[in-house]
Amino acid sequence: MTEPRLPRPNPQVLFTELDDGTGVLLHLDTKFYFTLNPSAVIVWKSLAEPTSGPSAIAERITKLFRVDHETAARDVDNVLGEMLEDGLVLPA
Amino acid sequence: MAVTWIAFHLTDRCQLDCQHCLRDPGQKPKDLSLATIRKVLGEARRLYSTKQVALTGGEPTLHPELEGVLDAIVEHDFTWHVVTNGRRFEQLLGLVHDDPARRARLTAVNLSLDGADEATHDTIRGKGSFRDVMKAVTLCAAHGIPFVLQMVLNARNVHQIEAFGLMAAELGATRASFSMLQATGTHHDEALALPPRAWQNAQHRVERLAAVLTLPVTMPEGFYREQPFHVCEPMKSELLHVDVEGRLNLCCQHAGVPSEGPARDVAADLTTTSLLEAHRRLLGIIHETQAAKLAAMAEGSLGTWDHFPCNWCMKHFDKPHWTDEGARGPEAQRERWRGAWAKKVVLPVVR
Ligand code: SF4
Ligand code: SF4
Repeated sequence: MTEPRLPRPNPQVLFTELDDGTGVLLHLDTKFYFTLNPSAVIVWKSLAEPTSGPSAIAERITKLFRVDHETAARDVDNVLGEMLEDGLVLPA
Repeated sequence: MAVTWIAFHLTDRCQLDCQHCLRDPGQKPKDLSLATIRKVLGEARRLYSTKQVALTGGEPTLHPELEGVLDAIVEHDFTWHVVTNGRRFEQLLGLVHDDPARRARLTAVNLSLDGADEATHDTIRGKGSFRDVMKAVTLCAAHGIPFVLQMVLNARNVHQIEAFGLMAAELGATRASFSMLQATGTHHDEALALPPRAWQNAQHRVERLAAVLTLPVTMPEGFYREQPFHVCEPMKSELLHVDVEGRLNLCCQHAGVPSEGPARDVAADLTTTSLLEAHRRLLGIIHETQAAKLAAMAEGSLGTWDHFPCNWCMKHFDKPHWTDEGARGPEAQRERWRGAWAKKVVLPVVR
């Protein structure tokens, strides 16, 4: 089974990383701020890496935070789904 | 009436080259000396019990001793705000967070934003600068730092007054401010100029916006006044402005702007003159200016442009100003000096 392709960041969204590992996305069209927890920051940054797929992102999160792969994979799916709904990312 | 705040024109250094910039960019940039800042802060606190400091430029975050400036503000028990283009905001944030006393005394960050969208802003201020400001806005919002969005209106962005106000409200700014473009004495004046009627329309739109938004919407000095005799904040001594050479002068709109002959808006060099004595001389300049306005009124020689107080003031001091035939007065150089100064500025980088 081939992995679903990652969506791409909406160019109208500005990412700002904060000192504590969290981040903020500002949608320049709607002027909404979205806060990202540290694992969502990993997801966002990974979108800039073309070779990476959802399971590779989950793998990174598993290594960085104490979560099992299944939980991390579910989180990545959820985050990407929400980002798509909010127009923060665009379909691949 | 009191000396409510002191503005320090910290530096002429800037990474941008905005079309409406008033600083004569051909000049090699100067920095206001820390010793002068300390002296003036001490005198202002002692003499007037002044509590607020504004840091302007140029781009104030490029002052090589900015950290020392912030420490002096804290030591002399002032609160402060800064006007910035946002490009070095993370460095500024690093300095602010290094000492809780600096953060506690920071009342606002005023971000210069000249359009409600990226294309309009970047046309005036240079590519990438809209996103710099938006990033600074995000950091302010994330760190709970109050921020003001301030726009210099001109022919390229005047259509965006309402969109700008709405954007400021949506982003969580504490205030939106609209200034009137002053003639720069450069070739940009022709494309940026608006006729008096268009300025009055813009002013009405800002007033209407202020009535609609819950966010405070303000207009600094400059816009049309029905009554020709108007006493502005600097002329009431509510604001004292120290230019980049450490001199007390009339206001920021005069500082660094070319004039025919020696600059007459300068009261005294504060490195060698006490603030009190410089202030006394400044009152002389102010009274001479007001008397000249009364004389022009008596002659009946005032035209529509003379009802714009800053425009009349700039004309009176032989500086670039608007007329019905376009900008008049001395020319400013335009090529920005791009020496090696930027490399010498070292500030801590957060993260
Ligand atoms: S207007 Fe301000 S930000 Fe723009 S070039 Fe001049 S000093 Fe720099
Ligand atoms: S330019 Fe003249 S009238 Fe305008 S604020 Fe400055 S001192 Fe006042």
